[in-house]
Amino acid sequence: MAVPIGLGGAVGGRLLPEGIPARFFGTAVLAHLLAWLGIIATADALPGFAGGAGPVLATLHLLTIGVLVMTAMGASLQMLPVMLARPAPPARACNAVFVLLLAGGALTIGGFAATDGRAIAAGALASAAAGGLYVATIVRLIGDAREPAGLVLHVRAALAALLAALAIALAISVNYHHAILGDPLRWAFAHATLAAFGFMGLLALGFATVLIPMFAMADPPPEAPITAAFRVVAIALALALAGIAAGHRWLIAAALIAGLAGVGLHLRAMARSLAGRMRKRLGPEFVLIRAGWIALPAALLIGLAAALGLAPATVPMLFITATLFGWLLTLLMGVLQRILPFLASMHSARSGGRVAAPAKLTDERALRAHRWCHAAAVAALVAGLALDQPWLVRTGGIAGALGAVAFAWFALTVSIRTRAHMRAGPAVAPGRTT
Amino acid sequence: MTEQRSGNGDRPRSDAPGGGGLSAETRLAELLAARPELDAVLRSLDPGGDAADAPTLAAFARTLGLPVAAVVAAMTGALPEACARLAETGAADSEGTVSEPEPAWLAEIEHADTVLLDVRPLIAAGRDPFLAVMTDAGRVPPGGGLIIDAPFDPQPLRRVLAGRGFATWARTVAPGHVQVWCRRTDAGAAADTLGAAADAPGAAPRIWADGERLHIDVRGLAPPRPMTAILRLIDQGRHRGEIVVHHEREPLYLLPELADRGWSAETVPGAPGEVRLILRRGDG
Repeated sequence: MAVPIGLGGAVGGRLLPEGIPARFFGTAVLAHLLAWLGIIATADALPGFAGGAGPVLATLHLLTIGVLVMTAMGASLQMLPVMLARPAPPARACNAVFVLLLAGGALTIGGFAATDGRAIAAGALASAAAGGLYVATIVRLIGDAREPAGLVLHVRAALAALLAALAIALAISVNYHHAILGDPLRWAFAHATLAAFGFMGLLALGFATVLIPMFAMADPPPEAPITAAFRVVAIALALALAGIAAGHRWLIAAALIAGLAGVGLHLRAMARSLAGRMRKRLGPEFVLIRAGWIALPAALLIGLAAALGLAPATVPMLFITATLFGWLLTLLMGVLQRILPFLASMHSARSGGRVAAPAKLTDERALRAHRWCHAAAVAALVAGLALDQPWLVRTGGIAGALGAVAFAWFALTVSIRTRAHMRAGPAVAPGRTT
Repeated sequence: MTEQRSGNGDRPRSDAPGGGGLSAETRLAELLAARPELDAVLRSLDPGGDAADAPTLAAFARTLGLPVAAVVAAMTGALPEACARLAETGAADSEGTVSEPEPAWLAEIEHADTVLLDVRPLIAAGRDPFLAVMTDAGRVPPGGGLIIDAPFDPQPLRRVLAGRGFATWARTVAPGHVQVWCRRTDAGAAADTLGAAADAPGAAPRIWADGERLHIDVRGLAPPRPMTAILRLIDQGRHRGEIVVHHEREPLYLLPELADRGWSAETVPGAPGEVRLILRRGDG
């Protein structure tokens, strides 16, 4: 006797209610647009930015908290249970993480924009609560899982980095009222390093070991080179933090060189995995994924030039931009354009009928428009910062905003088509899912 | 083979095989439009789909490193007229003879552990021998042997076997009869029979045929290997019937990929702790 494939059973147990990832991703899509608008608004101040609360820091946190962290948390809460074959975390916990992160992000960003210390402190507190709850939820979800080893290793380290980044953020927010930190800028660098390379970076590297082979229909990279790459990257992070703490330029340079080596090992393992792929013609998402992979070592080289004092004054901001926009945002957009219709397709099985084909949920025109705009935006932004030309930065912001609109159009299309598919209801006999 | 080959609705030219002639310049799209049953023969020659986009028979043979005459000879069961023409010219003999130095391991093959497989009747009937070869290859223990009788030297298949831990050696027994000796090395014993990384112990899905159904057991594989193994099986396009999947959990990531390929999935009762699925083309 045929029985339903079980969206109410084991599969359903690994799948969150569709509203939860939609909330995280929807917020990220909106924040993506706001971040590029922020670039337009702060174009004059961006090249010379040297830290401190203000509109530039608000814009950067629109990207980091609003887009990167929001997406990372939403995606991991939904995808880790499937990857690890574990039950999905409680919906209440996920919703609480979302609400706290949304509130924390809004207060932090608003506080930075208005230079309001109380709002910044409240935002940091709410964000730390969101992060703490998220870490507890993921730790419970992972449990004693050891496979896939590369993924589990990276996620655990990313969680530790997130906790450290949040603790420093809290300390910095307190420092606005009571001077408890000796050199706030140094702590801000440590926070940024832990958040961008520790949490987001390690999560991106770990998820890549499962998601990229899945996208390309390839075998995952072997454990040994991925573990070796992880160790080198972890050493690089430790060196960077030590260098920042000690204010030692050469230690930071050594960290960046170690980071380049670790990234090289990781990318080599990924390239080998992709070389044996089954899907010979990779999807368009790989344009952005590969561009993100190129941007990462490029960002590290820019950082190295800055650490060694070999570059103009705007290079630190160039390093931050290449890391956040060039690497993390580009990679994330590439992954998102694949997993949004993919997740929607999985959720469509809840209707009890056919699973919606991801290709039919996707509007390729919107994605194409986004890719061109994103490429132009990052190129103009980097050029504007390198040449200290605010008009180029502003042009990049305009292109990025147009790309963000195109991406929002794509996300909306996925949502509308999925709902239409699910409204159509069961179209096949019970037990059939596709 | 691609749909480009089998799904082409162009009319065959007057000198195309369907019209009687066969040459190195024969266009595959036209050949298959005229003789769609030959698609299975081409698939058996090109298990990895390396020559899927080859426009002509010569390009197809060149891509795979096969003599043109060997490709033609592989079609003899379905194209006796071409076979006759080749026999007249002697092309198959001159191009198809295999002479490789005997490897040392040949003497080490234990006859008790040797599996014999004659794929000539399958190819002559226009059927794809790939699954038969892979099924039998999976039964070969480390150090054991597999002897395949084929109408030509199946270089692409030998490359696939090499990737799965087999050393191979071929010799011409008679015109149109090549014997391929394969020995499973110890290193290859744990290799994934669908191409998983050789350094991943226990990463091998088990595949076997049961009448018209093909079974794949992906239990014990780490994600995303179960999904890639199942999709690899589907994308190879060799099996058009049902596929029975033996899994340890409901394969959530697989569902969108199946939907994109126009396949349906259905759960059926399985062993305790097993999730058993039947996959079908279309809506079943």
